[in-house]
Amino acid sequence: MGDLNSKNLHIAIYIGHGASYSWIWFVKTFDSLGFNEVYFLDESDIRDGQLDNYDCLVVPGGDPFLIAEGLDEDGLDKIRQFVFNGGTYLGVCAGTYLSIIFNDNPMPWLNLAEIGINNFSISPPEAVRMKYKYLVPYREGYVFHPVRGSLEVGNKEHSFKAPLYGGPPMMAPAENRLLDYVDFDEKTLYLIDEDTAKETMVGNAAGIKIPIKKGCLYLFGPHFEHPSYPQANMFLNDIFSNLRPMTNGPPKKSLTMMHGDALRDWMGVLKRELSSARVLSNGLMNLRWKIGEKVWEDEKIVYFLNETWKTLKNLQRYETLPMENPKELETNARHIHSLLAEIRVLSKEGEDTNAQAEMLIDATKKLSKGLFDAYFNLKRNIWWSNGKIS
Amino acid sequence: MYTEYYLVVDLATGEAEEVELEEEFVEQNVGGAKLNLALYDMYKDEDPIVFGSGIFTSTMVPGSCLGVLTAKSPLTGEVAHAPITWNAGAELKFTGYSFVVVKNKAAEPTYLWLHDEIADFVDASALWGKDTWEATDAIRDEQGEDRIQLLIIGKAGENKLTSAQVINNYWGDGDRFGFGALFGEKNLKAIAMRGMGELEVDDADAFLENVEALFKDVVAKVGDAKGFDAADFADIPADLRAAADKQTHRVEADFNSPLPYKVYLKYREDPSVMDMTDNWNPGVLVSDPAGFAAIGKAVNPDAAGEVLEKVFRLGLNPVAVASKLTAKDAAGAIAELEKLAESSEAEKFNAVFSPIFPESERMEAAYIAGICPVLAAKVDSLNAEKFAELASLTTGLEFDADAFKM
Repeated sequence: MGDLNSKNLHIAIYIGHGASYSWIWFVKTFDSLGFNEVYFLDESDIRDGQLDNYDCLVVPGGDPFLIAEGLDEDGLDKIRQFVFNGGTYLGVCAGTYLSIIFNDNPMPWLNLAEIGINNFSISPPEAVRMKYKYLVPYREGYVFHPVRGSLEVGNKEHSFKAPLYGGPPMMAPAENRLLDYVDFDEKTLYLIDEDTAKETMVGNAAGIKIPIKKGCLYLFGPHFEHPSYPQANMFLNDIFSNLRPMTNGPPKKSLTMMHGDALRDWMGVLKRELSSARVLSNGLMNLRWKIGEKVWEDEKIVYFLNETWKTLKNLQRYETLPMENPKELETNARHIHSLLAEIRVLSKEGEDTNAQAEMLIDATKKLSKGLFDAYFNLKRNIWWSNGKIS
Repeated sequence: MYTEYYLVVDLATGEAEEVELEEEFVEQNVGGAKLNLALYDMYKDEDPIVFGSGIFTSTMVPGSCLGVLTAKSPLTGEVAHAPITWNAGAELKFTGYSFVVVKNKAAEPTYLWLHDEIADFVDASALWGKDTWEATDAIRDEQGEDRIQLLIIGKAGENKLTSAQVINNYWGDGDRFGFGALFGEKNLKAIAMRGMGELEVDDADAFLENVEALFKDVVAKVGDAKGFDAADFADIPADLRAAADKQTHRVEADFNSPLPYKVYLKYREDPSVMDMTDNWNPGVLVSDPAGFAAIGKAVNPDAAGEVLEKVFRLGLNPVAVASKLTAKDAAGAIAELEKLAESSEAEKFNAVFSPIFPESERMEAAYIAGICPVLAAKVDSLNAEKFAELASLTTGLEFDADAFKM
């Protein structure tokens, strides 16, 4: 499991504008790997200069256009300075696209390194399935996604399976390469012709490391953080185990210690609202929303809410919970419930529900963040007081 | 195999209490009808209705659909157990409560909404007077999910008729005891359930291995039996069968059962059309073949499906009301049913009591285990000895075949 010291890395996960639900995979995997100093930042936290308190910034999957829009030039520059000053930037999928230059006329994103990608084309291949989500316009051409799902990545030492959901095949110099795309497997879903998909992907980099000034970029196409891929998780663990904490973490926040009747009542409200939201989300009838350049299916909301529910159930075991703002979480849970009810009614009438979906994703993120904050607060307290996790 | 708690609901106070389902209690009473009875005895001074699951309900054991309603029958005056098939028993366990005890009486019409360890008392004033189909749709719409499972009453239950039946969503089921009248007496329009809980198994690998072997055996013994051929416990006359065959659209099975003995009849559109159409009510599911047989003997065979639909909508026991019908045509019989369901308390008639499923030496065990009694009656490997072996494996407790006797 690596040096214990590395477990004290102060890790910030970006969950703001444009981040999709896949950041939850990082939370679960960091938790199972024993990292306790896990925190969550949105675009305003980054613009406020909070990155200085952390050793590592994780930018997960999502929509790089929206992430850049949310951060704006101020936030983007804060991230650049963070890396120049010794921070580690770990990008996956959207987080990778956001950080590299792969076009002569790049979007005004992070643009920290020039790395070509092999899935950009002015005339992309035809889709054989999921036409609605295989292509993203970029400047004069398109970023296309040849495959989705499980595939094999590796290097001279080992190979393992990892899932890909839109991340790039990178044309990186050998010295930067950590892993290449090796092959597809029986679970790989082809979005374009199989031979063209192979030509596009296999042999190109799936994971790279680029030192920049005092800091470093780790950029991945596949989601090595996906909890169903333990070997991929161990690859991540190896990377994090070789990093050393340089910061003291964020300043301590004022917490409400909830217990007794107050905790039980609060938990009851959250469970009622979240359960009702889960019921409603399961009742949605194959809705899709296009938010920015990303297509969200309603099943992602179901997943998001189910994971939030599991976190809540996990917290229910404890007699005391250190909460930052419990009332705000109550409000969020009620908002999620009412938004889903509204989406159900509007969608039955054939009305557009994109605006409500955008608010729903935002509210769900905030609720999840609050619950995960409580969980890690608890974990850190138990860890430091007992020297072990109960 | 059970949830951590059972739920005690007091309709008079609007309070719901979670009570720990202790291991010793399960060891003594196992589940289903037997454990229901123990709970009934504990709360009998408060006029309880107990809805409970068997030890295997909602698991991978073949036929694990069964829920059991236990209460004092207004019809017989005795405590009785009504089998509830389809999905309601499984859904109950997924809500986080393996058993729910509903005691006392609500001041106003109410429905109980159970979801993920939450019990909500919802005002049902607007639903009172609606038939079971309308009320089922309204509750599902209100809570936002079409897979919500309901035990619900119609006008017959609201009017406290001993011929009233608790309906399973839209369809009749195993209540031949007038439990619909008990719901009405309590001002309880429905128990609505939806849950996404998970169950823990003591030795999951061994359980899966055993269940897989059992499923193969059950599937082999069921063979090709389906539809009315699988419902051979119901005495369906040849002319009724011939009429029903012309209207048959599809067959359906209960939760996790390989025996599709329920037949959907279409009489408002061509039964050969498999696609959904704009007609949301094209026919009826013959969920109770014996009840269908009783209705079919009372009216013209061609009209039996449509009349059965009205029986279900009003929340009546088809066996009880069949003998009261004099009209042979659908319109006439439906008019008579509406009049019956509107009967005042003083005019209530004595319904005929009849068990829904065939007597079988395995029936008792199935009611305790939570296994579909129709399937258990057909497949001899679904017996007390097998249930005891599986229950010991999955709970870590020790059960013998006698545990699966009342």
